[in-house]
Amino acid sequence: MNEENLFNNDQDMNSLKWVARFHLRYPFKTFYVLIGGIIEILLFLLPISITANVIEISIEGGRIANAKGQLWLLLGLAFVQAGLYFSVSFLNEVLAHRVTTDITQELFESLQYRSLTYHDSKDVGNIMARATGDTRTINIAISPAVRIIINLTIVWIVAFIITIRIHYILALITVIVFIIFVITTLIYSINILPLSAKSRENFAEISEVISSSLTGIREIKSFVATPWSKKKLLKTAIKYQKNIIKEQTKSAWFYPIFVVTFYAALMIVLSLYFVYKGLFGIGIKEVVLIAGFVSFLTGMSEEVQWTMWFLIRGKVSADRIYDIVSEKDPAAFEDGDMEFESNFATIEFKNVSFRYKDDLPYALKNISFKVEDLQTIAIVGPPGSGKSTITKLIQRLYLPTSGEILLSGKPISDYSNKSLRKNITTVEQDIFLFNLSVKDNIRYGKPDATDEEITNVAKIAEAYDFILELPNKFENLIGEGGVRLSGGQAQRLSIARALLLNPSILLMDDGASALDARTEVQIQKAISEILRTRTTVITTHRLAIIAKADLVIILENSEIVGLGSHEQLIRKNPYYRRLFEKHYELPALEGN
Amino acid sequence: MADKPTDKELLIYLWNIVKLHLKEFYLVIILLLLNVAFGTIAPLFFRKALDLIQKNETSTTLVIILTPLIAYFLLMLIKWFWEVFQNVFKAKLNAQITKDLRVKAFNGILENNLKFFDNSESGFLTSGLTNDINEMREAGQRFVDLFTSLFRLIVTIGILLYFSPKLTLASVVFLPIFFIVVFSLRKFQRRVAKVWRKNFATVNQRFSETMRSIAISKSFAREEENIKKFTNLNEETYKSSIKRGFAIFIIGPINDFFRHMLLIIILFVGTIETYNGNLDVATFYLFIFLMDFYYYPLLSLARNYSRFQSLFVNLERLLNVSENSEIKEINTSINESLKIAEKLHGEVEFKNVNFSYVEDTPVLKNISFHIKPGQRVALVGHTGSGKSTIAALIPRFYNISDGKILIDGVNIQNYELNSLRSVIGLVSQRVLLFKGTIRENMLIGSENASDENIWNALDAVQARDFIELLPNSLDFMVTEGGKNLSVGQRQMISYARVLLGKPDIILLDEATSAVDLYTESKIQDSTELLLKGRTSIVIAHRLTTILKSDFIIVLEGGEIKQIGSHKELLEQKGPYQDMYQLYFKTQSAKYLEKIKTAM
Repeated sequence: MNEENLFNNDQDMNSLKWVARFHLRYPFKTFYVLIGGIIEILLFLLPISITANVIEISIEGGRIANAKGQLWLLLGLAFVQAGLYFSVSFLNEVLAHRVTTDITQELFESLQYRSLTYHDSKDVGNIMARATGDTRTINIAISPAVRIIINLTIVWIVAFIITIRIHYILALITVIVFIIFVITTLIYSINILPLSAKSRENFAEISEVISSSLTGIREIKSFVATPWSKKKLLKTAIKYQKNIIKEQTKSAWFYPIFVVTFYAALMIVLSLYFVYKGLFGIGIKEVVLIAGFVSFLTGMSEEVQWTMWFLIRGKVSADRIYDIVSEKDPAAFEDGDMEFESNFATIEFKNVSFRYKDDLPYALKNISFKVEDLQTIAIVGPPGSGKSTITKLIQRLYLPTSGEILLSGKPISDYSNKSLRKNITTVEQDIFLFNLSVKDNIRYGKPDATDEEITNVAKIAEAYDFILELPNKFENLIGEGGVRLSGGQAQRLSIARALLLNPSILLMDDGASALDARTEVQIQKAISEILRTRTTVITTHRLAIIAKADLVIILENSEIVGLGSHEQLIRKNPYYRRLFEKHYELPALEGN
Repeated sequence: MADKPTDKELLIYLWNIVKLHLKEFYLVIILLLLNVAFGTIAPLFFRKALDLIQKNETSTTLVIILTPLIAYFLLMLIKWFWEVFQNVFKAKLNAQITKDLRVKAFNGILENNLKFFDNSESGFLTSGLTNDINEMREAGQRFVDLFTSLFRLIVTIGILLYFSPKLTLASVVFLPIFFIVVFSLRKFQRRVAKVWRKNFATVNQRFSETMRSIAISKSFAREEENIKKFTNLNEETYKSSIKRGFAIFIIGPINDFFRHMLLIIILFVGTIETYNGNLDVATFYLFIFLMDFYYYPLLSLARNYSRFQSLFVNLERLLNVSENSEIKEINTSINESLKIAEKLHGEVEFKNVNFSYVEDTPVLKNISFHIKPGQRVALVGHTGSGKSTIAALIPRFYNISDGKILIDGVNIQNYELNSLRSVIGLVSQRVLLFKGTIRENMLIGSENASDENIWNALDAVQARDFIELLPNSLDFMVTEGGKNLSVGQRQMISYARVLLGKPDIILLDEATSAVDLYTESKIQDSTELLLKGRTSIVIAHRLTTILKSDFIIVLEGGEIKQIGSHKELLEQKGPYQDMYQLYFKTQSAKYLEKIKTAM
């Protein structure tokens, strides 16, 4: 973060305006907290003057009866002030939570509609740090940090009023000390800030090291890499410790408060001296007033140390969240308004090239092919050749870098997102199942599906039998606290999930090339049943499936090196033959 | 420390860490005493000056007046410096203790056995080592502060008793009531804080899960649904945070109210006492001046009590997972001297091995087999037949309670654990790459390998081509979990890093299941040389892989059904034959012709 730009840059105030806009949604609360807060702190100052009055009565040798009025006033004040204080501080807290809840909501919503290109470039851990840590900081900055700063300003103003009534020189000292205090506090806080930003960074590193070591514990144990892990943590922990010490040492030297301590002691000593000399007509009562007041002022100014820290950090946190909320999506595109018709679906790639990021090599180069309605196309090729990328492009999760994709003859960008999602579904390679019941996982894309529909697709996907073997059948929880499914089982659930939507285009990213015999047969059966009922794109290593496809695309190094039917390719295409020759007895190669 | 650690044990654990930093510890205490001493003595000079001026006797010269005034002035300033020093050393001490605590606990956890990790969530452990320990540091800071103010309280009450026992008692008698009120709120506070914490965690969890599954959300167009669900949770958390806010902010006004009451009592009794001549005005004011010195310590104790409690709760939780001998990985359970496993021949023998992860649910039943040095063995069977468990037992990820596993004729319990694992290479089904460069990921098991060795290993698994195309090649940054590489590519790297360690025994648990057939066969060819002379146990489903092995072990329901070569097994009537009929055969061209014509 750039400390110099912290306050003087106009651009930088945007995040504050943004936070302020949330406040303005709740004008009454905001107004009440501001005005109520000012009245409350003034009421809180009254006992100091009441004390001075009572002491004066004692000095003049007065009885308790003389002080009764003052004490009753104090008693009444105790109730009023406490009541007001509570309503203000509580409402302030409510407001702060309201605002941070809204901010979290906006952050969440803004992320939902970003392109996948955007999400690929973001680390989930990093975003989560903003969603949790930074919203908390903003919360504390709003309540109570802002209120404390407002209160303190009022107290200083009162200090000015008290001193000017005694002598303008004292008032002048007060003003000068206040200005020095404000300036030094700002300088101090801005100096502390980069240090605390750094320790936050270090802390995130620690968290990363710990979390990755614990999730990878099997690898670590099997490579006897515990010393490696321990060393890594020790290194980051020491770095963090050093930074914390540096930060806290610097923050312990909160020199602005020294100025205030100096001021308080000086005021007390001067006022006593004035009484002794009989100057300016002040007496013990005024000394008591001043002494009570400046001690209060000192105590309150001490709070500024952490308050300012939270305020500035709140500002940084607001920046961090605002950065995300206002960030431009590099791959955002306008949604089309054409509805994708569900009864007829062809797919055509015209010279499509694509890369995920500018600094990464092309994932697809100049790809052209066409799939007719109800046809099946199989994509084969070595790891990283671009198989999965093609299926992602058909879903319009990314737009091609160059070239054109046509669905049913129209450019893919013309369709509305909703109709595309409804009619194109996917069985992904890295299957993500939610920590929910089997049923909820299957109906993920169609929450209102009937039990019958769910059973139906489970049967087609060959998942029905193993689901019935689970203790709670369709209600059985999956994942943490539930059953852990094998790769083949997860894949079949994912097929059921995709089929439930009855899509006109089905994309299957079938990563596993070999599963145990029984599972393999079941999956082959499941897939075979689906083919020809809809336009299907499948990336697979299973020759039994590939052989059934109308069209096979062979990818290597992001390019098409073979295109045709299994019959043609197996006889003519050396790449295709190469894929299988070790595993099958192939017919003789034909020249062409 | 198998049982729940007692408070005494917790304190001893903490003290052992504090002991490492005694210099800072004593410095903090000395500075604390100085700070309090200067802070409480200064007001006495103020009282003296006030007294002198108020009595205004003719004998009082300017010097007599100025002496206490200057003393007060200087003491206040010097006190500020003591405070700064105290804070500096307090922070230093705290940071050091925190670091030690974190490192010690993390190291302790790493020594736990896999059973422990199977049963615990890594997210939970991580937050214990990060946030909980930070909370403890926070509590530690407050603890020193509390100690300071309690000490100040005692000194102040001593001073006030000296001046006016009556007024002191009048004001002190009143304090327990306040203390009880604030204290009794504690239960309520804890309850709402717990609810809030839970809700807050749920929101975060939902947020992070949604982010992690954003791609699938998008392909099912679930954005609106996600938002709707999130909104509900978010609003729920808002409600509970308001309750929590109420529990926290009710303290402030109560505190102010009681403070006013205290002031009324002091003013009331003080006025009477002064009128009766038992008290001079300066002392009267001293009571008011010092009021906060004996009021705030109690407030801070009441306020931070739960924080201190959580310090112990957190520490207890931490010790339970890091210092619990029951969950430690045991180097040996046999009372014989340990043998270092080095340059093994690779003979592996299972003798009547029974094993279960959870009691009464046997996973392996009476497993016996013998692999000669350098042999290649295929484990075949359906999901859940126990193949991966056999692989996990050889590097002693789990200890067996029944039967024996021998390597080179020595019970594996007799090998020093780390040396045993160093000579066994396991390429597991679930591939995990760490965030870092490809080079860092390769070097995990063999820190000193040269780039040349790394490339050789990568060549063997056919990974050179794609790595050379990546920006920065070996220094390409792999993201969390390896998500920016394809599944097949991740498998290749994880295979290569095992080869880099040149293990004597190699276990391949579906090592290339996501790689296409051509690449796989190329990997097979190029690893041939590397595997020669090493014992290898392969869990595979591919016919070509199985055909290459010396013998096959067929597992079903945790039992060995058949052992023998492909040819032998095909001739026997048994599960292998069924499996072949069912599946392996589908990998032949004739079968393909058949299904093609059937369509």
